[in-house]
Amino acid sequence: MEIKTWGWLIFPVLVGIMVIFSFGRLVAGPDQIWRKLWLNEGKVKAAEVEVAKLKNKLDRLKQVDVVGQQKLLAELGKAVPNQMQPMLLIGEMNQAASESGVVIEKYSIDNGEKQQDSKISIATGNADKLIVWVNDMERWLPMARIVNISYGEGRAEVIVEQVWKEFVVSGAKPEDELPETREKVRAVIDQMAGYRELTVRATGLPTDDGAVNPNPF
Amino acid sequence: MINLLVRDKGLVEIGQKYKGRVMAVTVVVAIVYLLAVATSAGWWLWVTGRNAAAIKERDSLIQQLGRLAATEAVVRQVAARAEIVEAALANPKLGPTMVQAQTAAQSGGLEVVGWKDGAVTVRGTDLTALENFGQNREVKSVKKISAGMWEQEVVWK
Repeated sequence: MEIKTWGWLIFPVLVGIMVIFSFGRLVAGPDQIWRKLWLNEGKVKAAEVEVAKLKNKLDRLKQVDVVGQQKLLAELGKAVPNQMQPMLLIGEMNQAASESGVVIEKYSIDNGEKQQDSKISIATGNADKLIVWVNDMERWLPMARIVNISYGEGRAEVIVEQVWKEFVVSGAKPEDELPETREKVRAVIDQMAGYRELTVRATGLPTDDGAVNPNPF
Repeated sequence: MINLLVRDKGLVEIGQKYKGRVMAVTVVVAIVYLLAVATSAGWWLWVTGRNAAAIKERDSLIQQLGRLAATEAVVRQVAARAEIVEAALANPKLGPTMVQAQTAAQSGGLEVVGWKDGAVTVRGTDLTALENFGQNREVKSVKKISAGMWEQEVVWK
């Protein structure tokens, strides 16, 4: 056999070896380069989606009226303040007492972690006045919640709580979506229109008309 | 003695017979293979380029968002506070329930004399009115407190 006679076989053999060897590397081997290429495509798509989200968030943030948002925050804080306001609660109790004609005989306020429980003893005379007082109390800003009433023989023991909650740092990541709040905030502020604020004097202390319960302490 | 020359001659003839076909198939395989490799390499370059561009843009956007962190914090505070206020507004109120009980009592000529743990105590002289007041509700107790005067405690929630 002469090499010249079979020399033409070198090319097919080399191509065969190259295909078999690289097939093992590209498709079937431990490296699985095709699989890596496929995964990379997935990663790129995810990165592009993230970019689109970030762009959208950035556009929305650029349109935010910060002063307007701070005003909304202050408005919402009138309903649920970010700190305890015992003087306001006392003012609310007294104002409601003046308007309903009940007499607040004594009270104690316990500042809890999330709310402020007040135990109040009231001389009401009759249930009508008590009901007016309760309705008044449940229409104040900051909001007061009547937790329990024990009424009998013209006297009532009432537990009221003023709900408050501290501002919490959100800890949001850049990729976290910005909440859409416009509709909700508007609805909540509309609901708050049915409530009233305690008149605050220039001194910063709530008014205590004094007709029924002149001294809160 | 075996004559190998005859066998060699046969193989050469077979080789020559299939040479053209084998070469054609090899060329086709080589071209397809090279095209596939070139396409893969091109695809890899394209994907890598897109990835680099996306990461660069993402980093830039994150930096810009970082500069607007204070604005984002205010928006999130408003959202959180709105949720809190909404929940507080949705809390059940006792006033309307008491008004409802009082109205029902007064319509029957009864007097509300007590309220404890969601139960209202009414007093009256008309037993039928007391019965109507407690209809479809849980009656906790009925007491005769003096001649012609009864008290009834009804759960009112």
